Amino acid sequence: MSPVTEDRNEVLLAARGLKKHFAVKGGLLQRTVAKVRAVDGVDLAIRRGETLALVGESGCGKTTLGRLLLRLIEPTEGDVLFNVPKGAYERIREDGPHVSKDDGQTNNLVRQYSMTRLRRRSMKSLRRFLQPVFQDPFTSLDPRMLIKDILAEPLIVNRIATRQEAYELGAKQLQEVGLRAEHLYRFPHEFSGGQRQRIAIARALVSEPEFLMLDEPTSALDVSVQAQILNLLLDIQQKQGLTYLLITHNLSVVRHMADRVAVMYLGRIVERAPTAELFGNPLHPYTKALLSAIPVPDPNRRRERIILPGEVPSPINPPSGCRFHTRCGFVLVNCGWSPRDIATMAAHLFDPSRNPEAAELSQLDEVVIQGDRLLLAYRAPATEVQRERVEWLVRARAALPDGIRFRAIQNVAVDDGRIALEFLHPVEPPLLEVSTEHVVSCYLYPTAEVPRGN
Amino acid sequence: MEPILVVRGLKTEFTTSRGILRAVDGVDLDIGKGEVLGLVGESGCGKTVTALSIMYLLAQPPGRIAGGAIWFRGLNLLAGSEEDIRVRPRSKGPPKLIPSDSHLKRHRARMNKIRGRGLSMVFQEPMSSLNPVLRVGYQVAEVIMFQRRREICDRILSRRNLTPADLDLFRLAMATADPAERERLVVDLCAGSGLPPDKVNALIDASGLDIEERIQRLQRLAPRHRFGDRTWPRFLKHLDALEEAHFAREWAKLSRQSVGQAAIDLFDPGKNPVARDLPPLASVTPREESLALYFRSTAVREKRTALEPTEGLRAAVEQLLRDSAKGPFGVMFADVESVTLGKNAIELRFPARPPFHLGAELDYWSRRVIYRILLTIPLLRSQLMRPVEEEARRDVLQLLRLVRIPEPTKVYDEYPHELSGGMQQRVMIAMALAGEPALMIADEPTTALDVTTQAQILWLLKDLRKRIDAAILYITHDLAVVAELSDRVAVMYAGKIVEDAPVADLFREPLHPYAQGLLESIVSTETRQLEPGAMLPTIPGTVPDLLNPPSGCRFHPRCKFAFARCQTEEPMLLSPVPNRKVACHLYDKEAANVPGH
Repeated sequence: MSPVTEDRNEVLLAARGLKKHFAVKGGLLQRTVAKVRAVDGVDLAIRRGETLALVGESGCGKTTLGRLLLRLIEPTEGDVLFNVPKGAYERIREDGPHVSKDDGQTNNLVRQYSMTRLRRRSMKSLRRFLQPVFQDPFTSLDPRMLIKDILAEPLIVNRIATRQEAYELGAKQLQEVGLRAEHLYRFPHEFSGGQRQRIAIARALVSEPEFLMLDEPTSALDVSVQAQILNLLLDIQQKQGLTYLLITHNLSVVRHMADRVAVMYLGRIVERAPTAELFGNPLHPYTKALLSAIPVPDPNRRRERIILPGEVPSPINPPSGCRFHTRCGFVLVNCGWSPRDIATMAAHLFDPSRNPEAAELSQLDEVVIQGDRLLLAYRAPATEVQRERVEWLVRARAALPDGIRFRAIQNVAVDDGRIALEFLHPVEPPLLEVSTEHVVSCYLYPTAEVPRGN
Repeated sequence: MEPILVVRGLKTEFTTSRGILRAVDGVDLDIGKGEVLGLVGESGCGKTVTALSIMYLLAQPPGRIAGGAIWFRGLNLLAGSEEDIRVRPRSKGPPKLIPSDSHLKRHRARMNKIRGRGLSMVFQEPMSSLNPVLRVGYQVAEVIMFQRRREICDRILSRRNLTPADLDLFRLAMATADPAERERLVVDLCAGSGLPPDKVNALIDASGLDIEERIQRLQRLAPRHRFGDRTWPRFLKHLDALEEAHFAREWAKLSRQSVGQAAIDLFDPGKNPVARDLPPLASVTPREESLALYFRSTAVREKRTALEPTEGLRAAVEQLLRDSAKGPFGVMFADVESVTLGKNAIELRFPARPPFHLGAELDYWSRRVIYRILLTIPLLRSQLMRPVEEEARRDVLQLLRLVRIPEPTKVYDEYPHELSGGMQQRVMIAMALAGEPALMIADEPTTALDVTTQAQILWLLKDLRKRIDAAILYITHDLAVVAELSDRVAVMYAGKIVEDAPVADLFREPLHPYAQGLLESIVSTETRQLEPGAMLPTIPGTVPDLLNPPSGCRFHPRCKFAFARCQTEEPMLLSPVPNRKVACHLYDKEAANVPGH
């Protein structure tokens, strides 16, 4: 059954347990040596007529998610649902992919609305409703095509109109975005950045879509031109009732444009809320850091800055537990500390030749990470006395102000002549609804009791 | 504030197939010592071309500095460059440009001495400004080897043995568990003692060895004065010193010759109000070590008579030099030794130059040729430069720490593509700081970066301001960034400065309509409570085509306050309020009664 119907259902697009892993090939035989988890389990609904903003640093997977939602690339796992009635979406969502309840009815529902299970041909009939606008208008327009051909191509390819009609519609659309008919017979290089972005928007609009994916539509533009483009987008949305997915790292634009915001970090959504709620009461420490990074255009106002240390970790091997804990300023014991967070430090701390406090131990041969345990292999088999010494060192280190990662060590045991430091099993904090529509994945907010206001 | 960079009437143009494009058309800028000046404007306003003109990095042809003066710490950067391209008009087509090689080469060589040590630049795209096939550390070291070779050779020659304090540092480094802390200790130890960091790290990590054994090995590593290790650095140092002296002499000579125009400006009461009481200047004659000033009498009847200088006039000139020493025109006369009464003229005497030794000079050039030939042989080059490079490495590590790159020893051996955008930009900043410049030009350093990375870089620049003694010219199109960082803002539009004001004043009350438009079009989350979804105020239209700029005020086609005068007459950069300048007819006193504002 095709999801293309005349019904205009509430949820226009939805991601259900969506994953995209890119393979890293290496070695002589080009075997897959690692997987880049660009998008790693995302649930997201875009309602008809709204603007949903997707925010995060570069490398967090927001562009990949945008491309998945348009099915420009195929997901590794999960589904993209199209045009789902609210009731059906609630049912699919309730027994979501994380609850493994293999219920035939749910599966049927998913199959009914899934866009990613469609065949090529039926997908093609959908494409005209879902259009992208890309970041860099200097590379997204074909330099060898005239503007009239650029604008007519979507209509001709999708067989919406005849060639003659297509040119007429394209010319009409060009005027809609604030350019003149005389611009039709020019090449893209003759335009400024702002004008090119207008052309890219016109090309997206010409097939009368319902949904636009705006991938950083203004980040390559000047501040003054940015305002013009945003005005144009708002105007079009009001006139035609479009649905937008706005992908950006500029939170000021988000506040102006979006109805709801989803914050993404390393392939996961960490917070989702209506715009006013997110800006008034940001909960996740990452959101707070993003908000504080916006420069304030007022020299007399100084704001407390949260400068995030370091960079986004590699999505090939993301941190365990909460993925943000390595850069977070509010870490708790259960945020997901794992043996690899202390491996290098341990090699110093428990080595008698480096740390005089560990002098009683025999020579440290090896430090091994084994699941949630860190094994210290000494030259002589470990004894109870040594175990106590290591435990004492761990406690001493944990008592220091920055000893949080050592506080996550639950137990020090002797295992097969080696000393094992056992960590709390890292569990990713679930996305919990703390207030209406405000969802956050962070251990700081275990229940619905949330500090209000500032 | 003492100005370190004074730009007056800078004009830069490009010869294109459609005519001459005046990208920068009469720009005046002043940057004080340790000041941060934000240069703002839309793309295509000529911001980057201004920066490149100051650095003299324009591609010539098609670019050409057509006029104006750039004074940097009392030196005219354009002196001697006027002759570099001769323009020969042709009956058909664009004029022919003939580069004059000898002048060009000499000026280039002089600019090479200024760039890096006096002026340095951070470019917009770090990935395209770093060399992808060289290691990051080597690229920074190259800058240091080029600019601070004498200092480095000095340090190699004065290398000391390991002290007990160094050994304590080593013990401490072995004991600490925190990698960042250990890194800091290793860098300190290596900077003081000249040990290679990788070997020190290897010794710290050699877990099989006893502590005492490792210290012994460290000591064995330390005395690195092998036979013959010192002749080469001494030779290099000598060469460098000679070269420096040579260029210093040439600069002084050229600057003296070009000081004439500055003197005319200095005594022009229209430009320098302090000179009001002096008689008008008749002519200026620059000589080898002095400048002769001829005055003429003010009386109407004796119109063209020369004025016989008196002791009173001499005192007045001396007073004028003292009064305007801080001003833009007086800077060039800071080193005047004495003002004397000469025959028919008043002579400004400059300090005598060191005597010229023909023998030493000849010897120097022959040695220089040998040195150049030697260094073209790759094997010799790597062998000869090795001690210098190893020494520079220590400086690089310090610099990388200064710009807060974690694990500098690791980053030193990485290639640019292995670093993130923020880290690459930090490396670029480290390179710009390597010569300890007096002025750093940052051309949109954060535009290509994420908001969070931008916050990191801005924080770094703010932090560096406290620790280094450099002024910054920060070019951007984002006024919010300017508000965070700079002391003063210059707003540029279509090749001209339209407003120049302290940052707080500009944001409180922008005067020029363009500055108002720019401020309004910022999408901000905090300052202006704009209804979400409401239309943003914008500046209509686009930056004009500079091949054919609008007449009169260049902003008038986009300006909502424009009236008839704007179309015909170009506004001057005037100062209606103390401390700020604006080029707009709205603030012209004669036009105060014009309706519309």
